[in-house]
Amino acid sequence: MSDLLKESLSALMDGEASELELRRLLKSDDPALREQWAVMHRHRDSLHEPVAFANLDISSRVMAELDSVKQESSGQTWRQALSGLAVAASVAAVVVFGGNLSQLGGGNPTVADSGRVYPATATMATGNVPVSAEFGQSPIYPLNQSNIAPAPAPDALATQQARERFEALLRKHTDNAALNNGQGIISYARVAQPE
Amino acid sequence: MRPLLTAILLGFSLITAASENTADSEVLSWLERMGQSHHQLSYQGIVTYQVGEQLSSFRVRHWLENGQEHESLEPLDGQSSEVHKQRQEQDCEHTNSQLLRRVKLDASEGGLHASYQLSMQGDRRQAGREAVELLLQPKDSYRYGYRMVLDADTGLMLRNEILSLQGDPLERFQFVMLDIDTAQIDDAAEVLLDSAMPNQTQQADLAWQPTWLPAGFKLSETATSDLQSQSYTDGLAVISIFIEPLDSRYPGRDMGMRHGASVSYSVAYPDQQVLVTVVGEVPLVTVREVAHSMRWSEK
Repeated sequence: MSDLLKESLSALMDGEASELELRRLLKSDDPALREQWAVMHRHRDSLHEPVAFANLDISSRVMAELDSVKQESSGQTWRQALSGLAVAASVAAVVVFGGNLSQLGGGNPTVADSGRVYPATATMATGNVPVSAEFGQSPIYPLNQSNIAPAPAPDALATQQARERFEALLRKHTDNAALNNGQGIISYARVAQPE
Repeated sequence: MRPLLTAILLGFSLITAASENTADSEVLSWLERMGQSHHQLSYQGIVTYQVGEQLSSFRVRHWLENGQEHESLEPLDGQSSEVHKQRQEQDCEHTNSQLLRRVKLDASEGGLHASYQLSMQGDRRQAGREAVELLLQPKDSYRYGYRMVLDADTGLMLRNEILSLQGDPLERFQFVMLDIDTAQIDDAAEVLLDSAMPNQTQQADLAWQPTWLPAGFKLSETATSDLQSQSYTDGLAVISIFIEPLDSRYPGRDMGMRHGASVSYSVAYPDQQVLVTVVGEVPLVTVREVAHSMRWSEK
């Protein structure tokens, strides 16, 4: 593993990796890199509390599983699609905007979504400063499946368009939600948010 | 240490199982009251909405006039001063009320207690009113949890947090001030429980539909009769599916967006020349799966 990769890795660990560094890491398929990433996480975690599964690295098995799912899925059914981590692994880039990443009132910016593993959730803040990858406690997986795009380039215009499109659909969705979520018009606070 | 822990957990789960039915029906009757009071009461108040570090406030009004329900939501801060208004006939029952009610019949019929672990969290105060707190935890990882505070008098929702699967709040609505006009309770607004379901599209007639949805989600009415959208609900969470013509400039990859508890996921279907986008207050994995499960009926 080159020094360059090591540096990028620790930058990523600190949530300060640049777009370029993130791509470099994702492109690398070095087992040593994965091991290093796991070690760094174990060290960090053990500073806080004893870790029950500290020596368990399932990343290689997950990768193997992903490959087999990939092969089976040409005539894909939803059951296959749902099998385990394939679901999470193909979510490559999620653009997050407006407010902080997830939970209210600060806290660590982790991807508070499902308990599953998100391989590369590049977050985009309101502006066009895209890369702060936060991998939580999950191991890093090289993204080598063809349908997975790396985090999109920081194209401000495209981001702006995607965001406007999202807001328009969220507005229509809220028309539906207001009928059915028991909150009525209060639901529109979601789309009336000042940015 | 470990056997002790196991014994405690086992004991706890036995107790929980025994008290589950009573807790369920108590929570369900609160939710049913919530669903009705929200339509039947005249009230106005100030509500705050929080996502991340962003907090915004709104004036909410709801009143009844000539058999019609009127609502308005006025932003009190930020740049936008657009007031949302809507009006609807009182006698229509929405899918979520049907689902809230159905829960009483049978778990196999679907309904809330099939999808959520329901519990009462005791009394509290909210917006200067006596209130009760309910916790609805999802039984699978395809939907979020809810922590709701309902007015003890009327069942009106005073506070709602959508909780991530880790239990962290993703967004929060809460009344900080509320006046309920109790003199105005309109009995005529009693929803017609046994009437035919209005606006209900027949699933079989749809030209396109998802082949996968999380358990308990039912087709519900949409705000427009637009054939390019469908909406599904489990009684609390709502998912909308939108179909748009595929723009040739659209990049081939899937695209996800998130804002607070709301996520969207877009998948291109080049065969149909359409872009499918699924939006909802559910985990990303759910909208992704639904977006990938679309099927078109043979014509």
